Amino acid sequence: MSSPKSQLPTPKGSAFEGADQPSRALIDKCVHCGFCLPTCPTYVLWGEEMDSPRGRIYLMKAGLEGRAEMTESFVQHFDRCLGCLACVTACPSGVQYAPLIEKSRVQIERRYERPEGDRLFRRLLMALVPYPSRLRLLMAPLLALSPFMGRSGGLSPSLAKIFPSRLRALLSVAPRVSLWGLVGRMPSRTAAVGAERMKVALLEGCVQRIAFANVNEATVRVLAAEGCRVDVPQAQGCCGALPLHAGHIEQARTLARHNIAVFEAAGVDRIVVNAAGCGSAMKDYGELFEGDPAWEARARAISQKVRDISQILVELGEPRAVRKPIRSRVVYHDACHLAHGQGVRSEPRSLLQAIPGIELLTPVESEICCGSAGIYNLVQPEAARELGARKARHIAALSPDMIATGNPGCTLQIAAAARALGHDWPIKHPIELIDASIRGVDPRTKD
Amino acid sequence: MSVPQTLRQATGEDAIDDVVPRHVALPESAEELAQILADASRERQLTVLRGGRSKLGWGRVPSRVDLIIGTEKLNRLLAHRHGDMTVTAQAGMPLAELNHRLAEHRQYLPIESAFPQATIGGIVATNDSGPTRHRFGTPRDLLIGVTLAMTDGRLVTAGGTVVKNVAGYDLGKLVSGSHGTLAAIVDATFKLLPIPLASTTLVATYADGNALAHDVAALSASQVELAAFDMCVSSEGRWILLMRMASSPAATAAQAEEARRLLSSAPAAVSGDEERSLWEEQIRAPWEEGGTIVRLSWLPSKLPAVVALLSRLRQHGCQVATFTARAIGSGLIRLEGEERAIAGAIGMLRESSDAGHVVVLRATPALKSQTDVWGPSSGTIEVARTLKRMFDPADILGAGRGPV
Amino acid sequence: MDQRLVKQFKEAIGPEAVLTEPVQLVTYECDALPHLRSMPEVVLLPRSAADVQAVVRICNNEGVPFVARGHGTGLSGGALPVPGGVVISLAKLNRVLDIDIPNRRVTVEPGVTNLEITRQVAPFGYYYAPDPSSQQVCSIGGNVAENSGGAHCLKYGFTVHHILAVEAVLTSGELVQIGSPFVDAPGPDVLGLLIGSEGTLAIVTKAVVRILRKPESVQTLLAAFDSISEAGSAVSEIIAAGIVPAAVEMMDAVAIEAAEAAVHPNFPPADTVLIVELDGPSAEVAELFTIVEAICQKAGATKVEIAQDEGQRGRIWKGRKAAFAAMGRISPNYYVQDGVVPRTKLPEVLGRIRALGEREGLRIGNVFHAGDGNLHPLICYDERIEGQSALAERVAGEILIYCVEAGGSITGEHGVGADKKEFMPKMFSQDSLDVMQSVRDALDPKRLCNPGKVLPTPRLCGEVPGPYREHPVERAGLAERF
Repeated sequence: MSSPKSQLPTPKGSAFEGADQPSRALIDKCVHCGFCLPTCPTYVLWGEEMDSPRGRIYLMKAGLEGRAEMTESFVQHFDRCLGCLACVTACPSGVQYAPLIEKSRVQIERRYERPEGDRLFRRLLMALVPYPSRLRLLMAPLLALSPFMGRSGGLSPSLAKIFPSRLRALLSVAPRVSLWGLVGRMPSRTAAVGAERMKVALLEGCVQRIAFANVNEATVRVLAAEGCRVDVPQAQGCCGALPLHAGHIEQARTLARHNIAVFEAAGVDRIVVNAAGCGSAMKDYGELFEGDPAWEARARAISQKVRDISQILVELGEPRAVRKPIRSRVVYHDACHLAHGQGVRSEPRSLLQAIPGIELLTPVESEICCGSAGIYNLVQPEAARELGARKARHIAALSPDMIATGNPGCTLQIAAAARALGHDWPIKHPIELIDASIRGVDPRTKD
Repeated sequence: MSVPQTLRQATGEDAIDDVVPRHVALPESAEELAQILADASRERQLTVLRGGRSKLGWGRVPSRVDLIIGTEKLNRLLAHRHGDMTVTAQAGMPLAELNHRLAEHRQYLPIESAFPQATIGGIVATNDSGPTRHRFGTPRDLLIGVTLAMTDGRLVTAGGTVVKNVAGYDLGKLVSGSHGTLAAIVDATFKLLPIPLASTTLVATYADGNALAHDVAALSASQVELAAFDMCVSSEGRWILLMRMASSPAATAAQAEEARRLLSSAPAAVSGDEERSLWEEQIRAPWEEGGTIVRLSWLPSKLPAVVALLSRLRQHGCQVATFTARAIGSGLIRLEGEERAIAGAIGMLRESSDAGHVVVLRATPALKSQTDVWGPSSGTIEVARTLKRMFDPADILGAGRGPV
Repeated sequence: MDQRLVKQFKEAIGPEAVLTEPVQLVTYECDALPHLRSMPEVVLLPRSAADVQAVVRICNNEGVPFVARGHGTGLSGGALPVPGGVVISLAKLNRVLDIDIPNRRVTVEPGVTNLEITRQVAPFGYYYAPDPSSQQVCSIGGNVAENSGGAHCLKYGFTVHHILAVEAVLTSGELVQIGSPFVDAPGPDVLGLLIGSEGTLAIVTKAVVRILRKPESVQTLLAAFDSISEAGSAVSEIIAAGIVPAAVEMMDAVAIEAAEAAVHPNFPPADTVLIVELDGPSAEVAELFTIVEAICQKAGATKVEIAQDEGQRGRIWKGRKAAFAAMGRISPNYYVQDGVVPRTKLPEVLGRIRALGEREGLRIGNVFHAGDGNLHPLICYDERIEGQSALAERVAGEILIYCVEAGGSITGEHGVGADKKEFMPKMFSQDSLDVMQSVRDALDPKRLCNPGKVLPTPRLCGEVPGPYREHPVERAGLAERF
């Protein structure tokens, strides 16, 4: 069957160049079966091949072969990818989509000139969010807006209206900020309650430590109650997830190197992460430094110690601290970077089901992203809004009292989407529920 | 016109709706049939294909019939691949004889006809079926291959001899239900089923159709798997439900138990010869006596509405002499009364939104002149007409009697 | 493409529904058979039947060939674009329109996936029976076009047995209903012709499908055998006992290896694995299942695993259904074929295939629907090795010839598409193919509806069938192929 290429530019060189290109070997693993399509949020929304994992991989291949140029359209289809990795879960051929999309984004950031406004916005985000001291300054004004925010964050829609669209998107998913969150510090070491069975170090997270300090506190309390000595290395910084997933790989490496050194120094058995995106990024540190003689081994060593908080608790086995009942219909939302990125699905569920009185539910389309996906809801607000609405509808159908999810981004996104539908469910990290159960308090009143 | 050896003058016995044809040809081979058909087409001879003569009355009254091509000499079983459970038989082979032969290997073609002389070609062309269609479908569902003689004399095949096959266009499906208006079926290949090890039929009686309809709905929603699911109205006006289970012995008994529990009316159980006679009666009953026979179809959930429709027929001046039906939503009504009344009743049925297709299968020529036996056209018929022009450019096949 | 034409499309269905950028078009140049590629001029994304009509009318008026596409999961190149033509993607017609449980039917748009129908009716205790391995993504429209089967078609039949009616756009742009929600519609079964016509006669914009009550009981066993002939004899015995299982599947060692690597079903060690599933009323399943188990043991099964719960059953089927795509894990490239042989001829043909693989030096895995003789040879190759693509293609073709020689078919469920049309003359006489072409011409007189598929086109000088092979001059950017 002859195949004219009359519409394509005469093949030139590759659309990509230099280091950090999507790997041909990984691309060739794709057999084009399409099993990923129904699980890809953008294909579910739009039904267009270019916005599916199969289509994006095909574009990478076309790019490498010089059959596709890095045009605005080309870039748009990669920008629209959420990086949720649902495709990885669905793929029978074992295609590793994460490194493919990461490298593609690196190439785009390097070679494509974005419109000015877009470029500045992204630069601003990358310059502020991964740096806790700067982030504190950025978020301080939110203190004043707190009375106008929903229970779990997000400016009320009527007020958000007055701001221009990009700012509005930001504000609808802005967290509530307390004074303690802004200025408070975690103790650098917390002793185990009773006999010590594990030494762990906690990653505080950027948005987590400021906006959801209570999650970190609950994490430390529960770990201690379960016999862990918990260190919170004060010198730690951002894990690099945000820049990594947005194609700023050198910035990600710089941040990662710092954290690898800090956590090496901590000398612990496990590194505990309670934010899905961060855990996923840290578990991939080895790939981030692949081929780097100075750092690859160190990175892998650290990666091997990283666990999500739910994994640690399951690993510790039979709980020491008694769980007191919490009577509640709880919908558990699988954060993409926990379920797809780390394969962690059953651990949070088993921990929550071990709390007497909890009726645990999973929404329809649980494998489809809520639209948070890093900075996605800031740079692709329309698509994020549609996905958030879809997720909120599925959750609402279960009539929950509470939502539990292991990622701050998801918490903010779902809160915003819920509010748009007229709901105001409390959205908690599973560790907060476990903590409340141990302490015998109702997590819903702790607002 | 060329006169093949197998041609003879027609007699009164060959009449269709009182129209006596001119000639009858009885080809002895597929090639001969094809040649006769090509000649007829070239000479624009209105031609009717005939198998066992059992359903010639299904159709409009022809203005004239020039030629009948009978398949009675093309009556061999060509291959019974019992290990693969498929069979190929010529169009003129009677279904009864085929099943008799297949039984040697405990297999059968799960189709029933009310007419003992019905042939393979005829049942495919009319998509004739019986109670077992509930489980296994109609001839078109069991057909896997076909050889056709085209009006230009070509012999062509479609499908094949294996059950799983999607190569090419399924012309076998296309001619199913075509009533001999597109091409002549020369032979057909079917998939077969094993003869069940055990069988039993429950018979439940009801005072009225609605009570029966209630039980039909209950059984339909259950997990009882019936081989046949029929109903009829007795001469005394009692409604009778027939449910056949056919499987392995223990399973058949268990299913019968399960069904019994769901029924509101305690049923009698019948098996063996008595069961066989029961079903033979059910299949043959509408045809055994005189009157107009109309086939009606409906959505299963609308059975109560159909019951009501039947009682309204009396208001149109005709008697519902028999009503035998499949729960799947198809049945035969035998009507007695004045032709005009019956024509009116058919019109009423066709206008009702609860009735689907209303097809007149047996009627006097006088009645046929008052109503079209096939009913209104449809998207399907329109497309079929386009295809008819290609298959039969001289428009000879069927002599104008068929649905296209 | 002529800008005037593009403008017409944009005015008809909206500019955002018309894709013209090369970067977008390239992703539509193939379906799930990536070695057959052809760039479309334009891709159209209608949202309704009216949209489909509008674009088909434009194509008709302007003489533009068009190819309908579901979710691009076909394995015969049925959705391969035609040079100079457009692709009409039905992906956006993806709504479930009506669920009628009492009458056991569901009305859906063609972009709805096969599995979605089952999901929608599962809460009521029903399901949609045809289950191709790609059911989570393949579209109903595609299923209708190909008359898709799946593992359970042994007992339940194919798509043609589960469609009551469709709404379709004819090549003239006219919208018609084919088939009927009521049974026993008089006239030729045009619906039966349309189903399996591989998108060459019309474009389906709505389908009324039949759903079945979920069986009361399902029992699945996995039997390990040391040879294909032992497994085959077990199947023959089961059939001879008068049992019609819901599904009978076989996988050979190569396929097992791939499945293990992909989804870890933990199959017991075996040369051949046999999966037999029975479903139906509990009493029937229980009774027949013991017979099946005994037959497997008697035929020499080294291990028989009976699924104890839905999870285990799911694991077994996952292993089977992932087999094709999983080949990607053990081979750089693979080519899956789809031939049918009469069940009684399976051992003979499998033997011939094994010998062929050894002779040509290519690994060939086998996954097949043992109950109905539908083979899926998985031919492993490496396209980076000179000549291997062509070799794989040739081997695949030879396997199809073995199938026809054994009295089978060149395609059991994937369709002829572009991939196998050159083999149609092996199965059908020229007269038969001519009549099929005439049927097609009657409904598509301008030859615009998915041309170049199913029926062989007259060969032009120098044109060679097979996968797209780039000429070195093209690769160097010095020439383009028109």
